Amino acid sequence: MDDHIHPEPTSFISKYIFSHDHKVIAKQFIFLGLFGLLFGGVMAMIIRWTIAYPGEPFPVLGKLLFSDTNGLLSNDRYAMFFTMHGTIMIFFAITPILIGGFGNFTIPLMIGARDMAFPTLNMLSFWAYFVSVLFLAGSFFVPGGASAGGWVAYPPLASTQFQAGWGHTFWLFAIYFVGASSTMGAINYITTVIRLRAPGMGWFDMPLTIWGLWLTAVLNALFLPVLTGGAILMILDRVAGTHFYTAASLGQKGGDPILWQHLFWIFGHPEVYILILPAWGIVSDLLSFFSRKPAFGYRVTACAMIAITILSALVYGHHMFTTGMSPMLSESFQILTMIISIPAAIFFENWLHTIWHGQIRLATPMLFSLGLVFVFGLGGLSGLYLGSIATDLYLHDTYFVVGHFHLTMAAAVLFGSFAAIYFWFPKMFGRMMNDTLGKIHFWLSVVPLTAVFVGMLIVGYAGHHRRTPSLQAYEYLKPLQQMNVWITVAALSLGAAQVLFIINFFMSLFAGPKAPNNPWGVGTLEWMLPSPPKYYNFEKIPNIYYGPHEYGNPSVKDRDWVGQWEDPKNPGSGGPNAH
Amino acid sequence: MIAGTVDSKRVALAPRAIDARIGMMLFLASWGMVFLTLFFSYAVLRFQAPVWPPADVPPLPTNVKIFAWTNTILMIVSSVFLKNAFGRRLNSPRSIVFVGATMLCGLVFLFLQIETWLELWRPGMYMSDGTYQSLFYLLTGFHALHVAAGLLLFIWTLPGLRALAGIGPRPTADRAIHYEVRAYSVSMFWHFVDVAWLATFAVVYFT
Repeated sequence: MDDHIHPEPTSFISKYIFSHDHKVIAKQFIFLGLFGLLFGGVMAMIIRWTIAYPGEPFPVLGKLLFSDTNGLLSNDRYAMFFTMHGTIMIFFAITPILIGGFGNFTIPLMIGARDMAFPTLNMLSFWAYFVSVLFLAGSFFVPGGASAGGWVAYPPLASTQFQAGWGHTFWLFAIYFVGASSTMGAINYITTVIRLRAPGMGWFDMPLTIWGLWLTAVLNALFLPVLTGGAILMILDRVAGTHFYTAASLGQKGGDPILWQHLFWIFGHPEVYILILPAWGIVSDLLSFFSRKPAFGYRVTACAMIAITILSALVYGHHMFTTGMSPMLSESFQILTMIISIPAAIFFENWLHTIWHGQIRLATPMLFSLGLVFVFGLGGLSGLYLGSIATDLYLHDTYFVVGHFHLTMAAAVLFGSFAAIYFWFPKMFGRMMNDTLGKIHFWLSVVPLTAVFVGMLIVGYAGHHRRTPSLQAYEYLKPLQQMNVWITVAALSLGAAQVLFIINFFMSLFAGPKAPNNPWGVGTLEWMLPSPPKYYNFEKIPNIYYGPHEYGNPSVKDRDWVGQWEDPKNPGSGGPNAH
Repeated sequence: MIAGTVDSKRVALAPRAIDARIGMMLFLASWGMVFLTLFFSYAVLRFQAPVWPPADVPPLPTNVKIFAWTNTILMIVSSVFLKNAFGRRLNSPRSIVFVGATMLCGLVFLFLQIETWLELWRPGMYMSDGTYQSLFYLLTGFHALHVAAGLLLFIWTLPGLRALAGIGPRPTADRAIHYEVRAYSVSMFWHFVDVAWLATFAVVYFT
């Protein structure tokens, strides 16, 4: 292992802008991600408003943004908004916060490394990502506006015939750079975890957070390139007039629009696990930390996540049951999809067993972790109806799908992100967040959030098509208007509750009480360091003697946790590396 | 002696060199998925066609096939040269000669590839004519971009190889590892491009 410590950069630019330091890059990703979350969230509010209150302009913003249409969201812009809402939330909010942000922050700290294996690549990963943000932001300002082909960008809807402008091409460039950024990040994460674990830390001594992030990186490395390849074909179709996705039925020389669906979902199904695996890992750790109990079935949880990672690559066809694939294929995909519920149920059980009879401390990170368990449970159960062909054929493209995937990869991942932010904020910025405000934020979030997405399951079951801007256009949808008003009211209160988070975040950032080294009483490696850690993290790379969840060790008298770094002959004394 | 060289049989690798190998393998696995995606697309589109190549596409001219075969041989030979360049310690001018031979193969490959396209453009076969033509230009073009990238990367390694071979001032041990890691990573990329060509060749000309 290279044992030399690099000197700390001194100029502002090398320290905060083009930084090689994983902790700074993590913060860059998180700030961009939070900004994306705000942006995508406001779009969601406007979308919900349009459905619930047709003909009424969105308060304040409506008049500002859509002055040409009396403050109303026109149907074309409605399509643009749901497209960009999906794209921003997935690639520019969740991905940067959990993978770019917490992946960068936690991996070296939790495995006892001074930095990533390839710090320069890490920096490039962020700046490739930034280029992607520029493309996406720029796409709003090109003639014709941003892409309106749906975040899944199915041709022919995404072909030049229907997305004539540069908006969709910019969208594809943005996707291409996100792919480049994620690949760079993934290579870095995988190599770092393989090579730079502190001496004594075996694979099954890693925190589950690292397991989740590592498996995410594996999926990212292998499956984002599929989207990149698909995007190359689509760019050529749009720019060079090739015939990969052109539809013969529209009088074009025949490519195959379904090909894009194959490519998109070969990537897309692993992608949903890319998004949720870090959150699962973080929550698996947090449930143990705040129940003051070792994680139940740690190895089984890790293996279940591995199993899901492998299975996630084999089930993509369940997104395409309605494309007329052969029944033998679709039934195989159905069975494989159902098999995923076995490992998913296993670690869900492990979560429940972890908190069972624990000394639960309901601090804000724990509340959000429990919130994730709750909403992910709902989301997982609703997924069964979409995984089985008979019900999917009816539910396909309804709000049921929207409700389902928001519960799993939006609500659950959002709660995972909040849990992570509240948990690691003291280590990141050296200050504590306000716990009371955090708890209020949680309760004001979880109730409307459940209402919004469960409400979507209900209207979806009643037949509400996922992309219909106005229910008044269809006789059979009119009775759903009132239900949608309630969903919108819940959505707006959910949005309003996030103001509490923003206030808490910035107040704590500048005026929160100073954080001690280990405010939560946790034994993973980052908590042996000062808050925030020094530039090089570890002055001396610690030796690892314990697993990540060493709680209630009977040989320790005055506290219930033991650090992974502590001397087994004398645990509880702080160990040789205590600061 | 330099602590860590690309020849693992003789000297233990520096940790950074091992990191770089793992990272490079991951990158190639990842980037290989893009190639697999394109082949998969080819398969999906090709197996839907009743006749392949479609009836309205004239058969490929003979010299295009000759170019393709020549290119295949060039690619294999270039990989052998490259293996020779890095099969031993990088401390002799010999490795520069072999890298030069590899680059020459690559250059001729690119030249013949461009000739291939010109040969097809002349009778009027364009990318936008139909799915078959789109796929042909996509696969050959995508691969050719990698050959061009490989050539640029080789140029990037040359100053390091010169320094390692003792032409000019001797590099520090740290710098030497850096140069070797760079050269070895680029050579891994070139072998990858070679294998990618064999696959592209098989797919484009034989299925």
